[in-house]
Amino acid sequence: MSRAPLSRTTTIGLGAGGLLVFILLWETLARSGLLPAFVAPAPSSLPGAFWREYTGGFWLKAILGSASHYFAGLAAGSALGITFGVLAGLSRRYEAAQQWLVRVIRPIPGLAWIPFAIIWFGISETAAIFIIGVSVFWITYFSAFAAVRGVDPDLLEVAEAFGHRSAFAKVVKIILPAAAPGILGGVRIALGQGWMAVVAAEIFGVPGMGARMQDASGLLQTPVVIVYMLTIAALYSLTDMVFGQVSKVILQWQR
Amino acid sequence: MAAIAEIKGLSLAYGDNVVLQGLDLTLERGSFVAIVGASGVGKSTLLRVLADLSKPSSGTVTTHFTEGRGHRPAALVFQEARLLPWRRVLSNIEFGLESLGLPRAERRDLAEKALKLVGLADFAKRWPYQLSGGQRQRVALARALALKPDLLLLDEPFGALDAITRAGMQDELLRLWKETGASILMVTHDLDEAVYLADRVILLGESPARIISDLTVPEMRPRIRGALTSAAGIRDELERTMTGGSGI
Repeated sequence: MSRAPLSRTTTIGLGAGGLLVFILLWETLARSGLLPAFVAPAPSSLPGAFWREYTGGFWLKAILGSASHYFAGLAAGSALGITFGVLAGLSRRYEAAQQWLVRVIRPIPGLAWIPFAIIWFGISETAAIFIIGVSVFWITYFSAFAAVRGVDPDLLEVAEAFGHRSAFAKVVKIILPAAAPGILGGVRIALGQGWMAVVAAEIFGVPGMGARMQDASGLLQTPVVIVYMLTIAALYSLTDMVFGQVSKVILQWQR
Repeated sequence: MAAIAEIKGLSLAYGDNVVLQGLDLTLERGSFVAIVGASGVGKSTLLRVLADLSKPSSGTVTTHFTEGRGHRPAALVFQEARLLPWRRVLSNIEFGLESLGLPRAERRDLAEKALKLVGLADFAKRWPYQLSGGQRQRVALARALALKPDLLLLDEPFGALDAITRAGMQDELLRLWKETGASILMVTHDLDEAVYLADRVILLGESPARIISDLTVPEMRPRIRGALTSAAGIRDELERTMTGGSGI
């Protein structure tokens, strides 16, 4: 076992090589007939499937539909998650009061909310936004809670020593800025969680990539399903990259 | 000399843990007083009471601070700089000024003057992480000095610095003391530092803390570091009292 770090080019080369070997192996299996096309379509069938989705106007429409659910759900879910997480972090009384309730609701997976989402909101955009919101709520809640609890008490003492003694001043001048890295870290995880929830949130018929995948799989159009899987991966990478850059600017005070 | 603070019968306990009991101490205006003693004898607690961070269980603290707009009577410098990492240097110095209700421009102006005073005018836009330990401590000093305090409270401010930086900061502090005319109360466990800087050295000992020695350093200024003078005699006397008291 060598412990020396790999050079940048070696790392990139190995990553690309691994992916290439995987694709070639998959293609070979598909062409040899060992893997029937409806089980796993050959990678070479994907560009054509993508082109048909794109030229038919389905692809862009599905992305726009999903993106609107995604961003609305992410914004609402993380805004609520951060708010309640910060509150629980600030107040031991509030934390104690909500603690049992949290224990009951916390383990319920986002998918389990789908029946209620439909009962409450019908098969609507709101229902999809609700499902995505629920799935990002807890991540942002717990990261905000931990970030607020983790604020260095020495810095709170600085606030007192320099005349910022009200609870409001301490929250605004010390706690929120000190907790910002933890809160933003939670949002960053939520970005990925949100995309994962998109498919589930739309699979019952709200127009978007999830619904399109559901339709395609019903017709055994597996290449189309894979096109949207890859699209979601690409959209996740994009949002994560943009958010990473934005965080870097906000948190430029960190070493 | 008039007193800046008079402490009478000061006691402070955290639950059953009595840290200070019946402490009497008068600080003269414009003086530089050092408090020495082993760790855990309540030196920092005394500073915290004067900074209004801890409430005494009994006893009185009478201060004769000047009234006026745009200043805070007592300002504290901690052992660690404790700058707010998300604020640039200048903004860190403004932190204390923000609680005084000054207009923004005046705040900025006062902060810039304080930064100049500690010789870091060029570092206004830096983040704290970009500074050395000594520079960070200077910014912490500037944050306190910007408030034009009557009483500057220093809690082992150079304890975390290397010897060379510490010596430089000590001379810097003497210059600032002269320039600002503030009264200084400094906690340290470094006897050399105490007799080099202070007019008066108070040895606190035992728990709950009481004053074991209260000595005036007659040495002229500027002093020579580590010279075999009357200050050295005081230093040795303090050391004997300290080690004798703890039975070493």
